[in-house]
Amino acid sequence: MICDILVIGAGPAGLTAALHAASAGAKTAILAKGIGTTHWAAGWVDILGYWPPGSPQPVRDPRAAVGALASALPGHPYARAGLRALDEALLAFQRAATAEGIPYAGSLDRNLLATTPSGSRRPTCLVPHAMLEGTRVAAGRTLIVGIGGLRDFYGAYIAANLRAQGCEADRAIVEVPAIRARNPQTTATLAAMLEDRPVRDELIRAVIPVARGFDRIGFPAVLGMNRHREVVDEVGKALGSAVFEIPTLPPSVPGIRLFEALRRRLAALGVRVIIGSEVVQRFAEGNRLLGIGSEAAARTQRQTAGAFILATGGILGGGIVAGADGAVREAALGLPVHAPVARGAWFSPQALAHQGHPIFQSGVLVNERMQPVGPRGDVAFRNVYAAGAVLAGADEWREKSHEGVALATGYRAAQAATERTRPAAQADAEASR
Amino acid sequence: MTDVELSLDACIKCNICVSYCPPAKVTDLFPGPKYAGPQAQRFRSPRGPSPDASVDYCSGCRVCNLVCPAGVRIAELNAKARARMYRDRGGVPLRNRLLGRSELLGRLAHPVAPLANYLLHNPISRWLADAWLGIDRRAPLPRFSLHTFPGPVRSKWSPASNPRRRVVYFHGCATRYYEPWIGRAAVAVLERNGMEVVIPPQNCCSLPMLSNGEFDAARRYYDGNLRTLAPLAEAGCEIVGTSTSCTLTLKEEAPDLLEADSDAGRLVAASTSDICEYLVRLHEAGALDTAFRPLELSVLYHAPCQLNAHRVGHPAADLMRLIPGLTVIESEHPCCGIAGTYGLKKEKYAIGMAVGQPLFDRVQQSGARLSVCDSETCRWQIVHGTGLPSVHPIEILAWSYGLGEPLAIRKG
Repeated sequence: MICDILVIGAGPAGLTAALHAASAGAKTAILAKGIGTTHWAAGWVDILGYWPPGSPQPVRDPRAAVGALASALPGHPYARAGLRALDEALLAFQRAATAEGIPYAGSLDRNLLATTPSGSRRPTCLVPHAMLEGTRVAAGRTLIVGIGGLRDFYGAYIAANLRAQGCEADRAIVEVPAIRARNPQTTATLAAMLEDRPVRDELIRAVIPVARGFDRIGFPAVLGMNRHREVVDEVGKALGSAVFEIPTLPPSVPGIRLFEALRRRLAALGVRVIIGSEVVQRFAEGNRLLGIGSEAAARTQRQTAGAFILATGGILGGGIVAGADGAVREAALGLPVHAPVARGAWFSPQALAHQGHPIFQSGVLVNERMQPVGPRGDVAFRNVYAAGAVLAGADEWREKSHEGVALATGYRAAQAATERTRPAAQADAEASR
Repeated sequence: MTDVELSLDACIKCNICVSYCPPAKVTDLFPGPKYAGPQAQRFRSPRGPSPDASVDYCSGCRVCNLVCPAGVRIAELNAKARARMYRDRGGVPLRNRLLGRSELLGRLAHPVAPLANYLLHNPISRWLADAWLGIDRRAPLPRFSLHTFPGPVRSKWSPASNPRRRVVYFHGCATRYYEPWIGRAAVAVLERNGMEVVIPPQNCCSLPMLSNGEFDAARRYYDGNLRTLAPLAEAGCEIVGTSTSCTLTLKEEAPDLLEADSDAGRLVAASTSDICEYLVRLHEAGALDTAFRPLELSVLYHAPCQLNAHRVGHPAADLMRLIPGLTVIESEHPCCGIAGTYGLKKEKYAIGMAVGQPLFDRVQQSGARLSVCDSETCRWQIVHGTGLPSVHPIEILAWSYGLGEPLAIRKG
């Protein structure tokens, strides 16, 4: 495969980078080892939930807080990408998601407090429309509905925790024979089942008697997969009250919807997405990366591109790996890695320490053009850019900045990469005209 | 333990595989790759009995392997567990043995193809096969061809020729006994590009036996192929095939599942390519004849699960996009449901059709006159599900080179 820009990784950073590279006219492809963190995460767009580190108070104004963070931590990915990239990436994301039928609510000026599967209220910036009502549980009466047969969704726990925070909340478990009969193994199966009208009607009939007197009904996030909006609208109309979704344990249906929406968008832009190929080799000449070799049946498949965007994820996503010998490596291209501490101090003694565990800040250092650099600031490859959790300096799950870092750095990396490849892309476009 | 078994430790239980598994989406008889694969594997000991029978409902499409972010070889774990389960039960059922013997059936039936087709395809025998054997009477079975491919075997090559311009064609059973025109199109396209095509005697690739739990028989067929193919690979010839599941078997399925690690096997695997993968490589090296004549039509291309398992992208789509006038719409759907012989089986026919339904809908709604797919069983399933003709991408290339229109179009 030969393209202008090859994005490695199909999580939020890779998808964002590919979207912007292709929109800028570059012939773009994505290569990924597997499917990424969209399917593990809630489907929200976190920008910055807690700042400064260890603060027990959620951030109210993420725009201001990101600005403060960028001045305090010049090595943080937000500082590298810049606030403007974040702003533009967020707007582009909202446009793309709306166009693909899953509009997101919220803005960079104010965090929302979304209801989590443990009943906490967690700061996040954008939520899918179907989760917006779950940010309003402080007022009025909320009913949390569990569905008999669906494992790993604990309505009583959610309601009790909401009550402990002063919200008026109760719970009910409804029995839906069609669902019991199928004993769905995952939330994704259940979401697909609820697109069948008879199953949906059975659910509605079971909820009507318990829903009386509540201002809003919270369901596990299984209200439809491809026809999500239709399912939410119908359930809301039939119950006569506001309806919202609460994220579940993986696989995350809102995350799958988001991934598939962005994949449709990319397909429309002509981006080839190859899932199931791991990068195992690099071909370089001086400080230019010529190509990579991806693992394929019985061979290494060579992929050549003008520029590469590394978006392989951090420790969780497998982009950064830590060995028993204490060495921390970047998995795909073997780029220099910044690991802030020696092995003995990887972890804080407390599992849920407010300051987080230092190992999670490991990653690749980049300059303002998102080019990976060594400890002395020297560029590793002049046509390689990095984005997302593979970058050093953020503790995204602790800060609640995972999608924000992905969007801002993915956008910035694509911008820098297309500036490099633009002459070639333009020549191609002119030739085909 | 082999790499396949060791890979289960990488499973982080994220359930991504379960949410993408085509059979698990439509049936509860298969609990999903995570449960049947890495989870059940913990309970499979070399001495104890196989712990669950649901693994038989894995279709082997390998979608789980591709989406897994941790690199677990789930489909291979399942195929090995299925073979183990049949061994525990005292043998592979007759139905599976028959479905695994595409080569033997072809060899017996083709000389009397009209009679064999009549015997095989009339409602009474389909009813009997359904009732006695468990081959669903509605399932898309192919028709034998009286004329086999290649006719006289062309196993010789001119010693003076350049081995780099010499290519070995692995036609597989489907081209030999059912669809000889695909072999003719492949040879024509290769020769058009200046290749000397060598067609050695060959066996079934062994995949039907591997996926029906008959590993011992599979090993004999695989070894037979190595004996003829390894010397050719040694002489520097590349091996190409038009059946994407055959080439995948030579590259990876057979050596991995049979734990058959040999120099000959590695050499053959490294020399084998899907034909479109090979032609794309020629193109990238600037050696493909791109004087394609325009084809003013729109086709729906379905990349079959077995092609995706090669992890080489969608070479057929890349090639067809070189043809002026041709609009290629990709199916964006992981599996047609047939998965080799899975969807032929009585207890699995409905699962296969349910898996394929969104693809059939997409083909019909696309407005395309025909579909294109690299795998024969998938084409038969798509024709069965849509009523529209389906052709191999090499037929489209041959057509555009002016080397003959696809048979399905001439008929239609």
